Amino acid sequence: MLFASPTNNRDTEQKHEDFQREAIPHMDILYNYALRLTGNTEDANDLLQETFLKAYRFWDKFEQGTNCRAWLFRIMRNSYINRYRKAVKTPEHVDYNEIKEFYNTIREQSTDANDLSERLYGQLLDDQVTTAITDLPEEFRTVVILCDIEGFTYEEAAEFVDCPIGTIRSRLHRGRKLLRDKLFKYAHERGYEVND
Amino acid sequence: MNECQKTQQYITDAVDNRLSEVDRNFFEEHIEKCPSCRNDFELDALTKDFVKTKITRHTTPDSVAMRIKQEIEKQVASEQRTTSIFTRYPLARAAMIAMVVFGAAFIIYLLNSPDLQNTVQAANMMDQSIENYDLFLAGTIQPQQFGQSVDELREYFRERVDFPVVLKPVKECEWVGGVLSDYNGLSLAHLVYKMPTGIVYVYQANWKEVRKGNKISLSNGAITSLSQTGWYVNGSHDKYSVVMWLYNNETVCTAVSSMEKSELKEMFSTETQKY
Repeated sequence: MLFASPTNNRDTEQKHEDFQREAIPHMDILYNYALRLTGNTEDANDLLQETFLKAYRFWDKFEQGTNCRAWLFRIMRNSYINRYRKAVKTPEHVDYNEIKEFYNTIREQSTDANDLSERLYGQLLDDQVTTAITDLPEEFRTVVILCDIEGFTYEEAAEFVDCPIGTIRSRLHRGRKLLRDKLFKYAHERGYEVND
Repeated sequence: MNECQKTQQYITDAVDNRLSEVDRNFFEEHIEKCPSCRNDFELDALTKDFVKTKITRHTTPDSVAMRIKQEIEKQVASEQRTTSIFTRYPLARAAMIAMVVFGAAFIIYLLNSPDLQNTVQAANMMDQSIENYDLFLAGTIQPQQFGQSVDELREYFRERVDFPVVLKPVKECEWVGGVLSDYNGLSLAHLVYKMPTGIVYVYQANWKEVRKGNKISLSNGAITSLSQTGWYVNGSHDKYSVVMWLYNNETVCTAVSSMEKSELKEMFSTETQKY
């Protein structure tokens, strides 16, 4: 029969100390990821707490010397997927050409990237951009958050998501296309509202 | 693959400046002459920059960070409270010392000892429970989780075995310990009650599995008695009392103690509470 070895107070103190040093400093980056995943602060707070409590509980499963931040990200992502699994959205129809045609016309009139960006996406606000990101299917959303917002390399993102680099590349490719389409639609709809 | 398809595959790397020189040359040459691919590339690059500038970075609100740290400290405190039982109760301390003395090596020896493996495999649940009881008394087996009452073990057992763990509160109990283990792929739950008169050990397993008898077995007499009355108290052992009962037709429990059989049965026969 297999029985685990006992713990004692010194082990517990050491564990707490290690956890404080290695895991707690990543709280802000995880909080931002939670915000982009859930799209609202209340769920983000819950998800963050769940992640850290789980991480503490399974701290002995964390291999010292490996990437703690990536390990915490995986816990958060799995917690999120488990919690919201039932709420998976069906992918909507995406028309990539709409934005491309529009871009093609404005490109002739301007060569300045800032100006183009403004014509495309108007004055979208932070929370509208967040909503657009939150609307992406999770697999694309996570990769867009990691690479485009957090600025991780494909290699780092692959470690975080635990998948090959090629998968990161293809999800990022698709994710950016979905995102630009959403942003364009948001800006477009908003434009109509303003004009009305 | 035509040039456009190849270029499309390069777009993501091009946006992130990851193309090798050769690929970059090919890519740049192509988008010079293909507005459609060029627009795709520019749109992706533009979108990436736009998102990056629009997204505000947040710091965790103090109240949230504080609550998380407090929750973790609570966990730390509860781990320390349960382990400090070692210093409060001499028997637990003796068990702890025995553990330190024999250490992991002894457990490895036990696990690998062909004698023990054979006897355990040949033994039925009742024999195993006697053996485990002795191991608990000797301090070779240590509870993984302690509590002042069974309520404090609820969380520990939650969803970790495929049967309801019977957590019966017992009067005058000083502390209670829990262990989970795996035997030939079966998950088992063990409880140790520290009573003023000694240790009461309860071994719990999935009743369906025990009835099948592939991994853990029981005598026909015990199975019949349990199926018909929910109890089996006839097992004879020289040293200890052994009482078995069924909970909800899902869990089979075997209690071992040095107290009288009738007393032991009495201890578990009032309404049983599961987690």
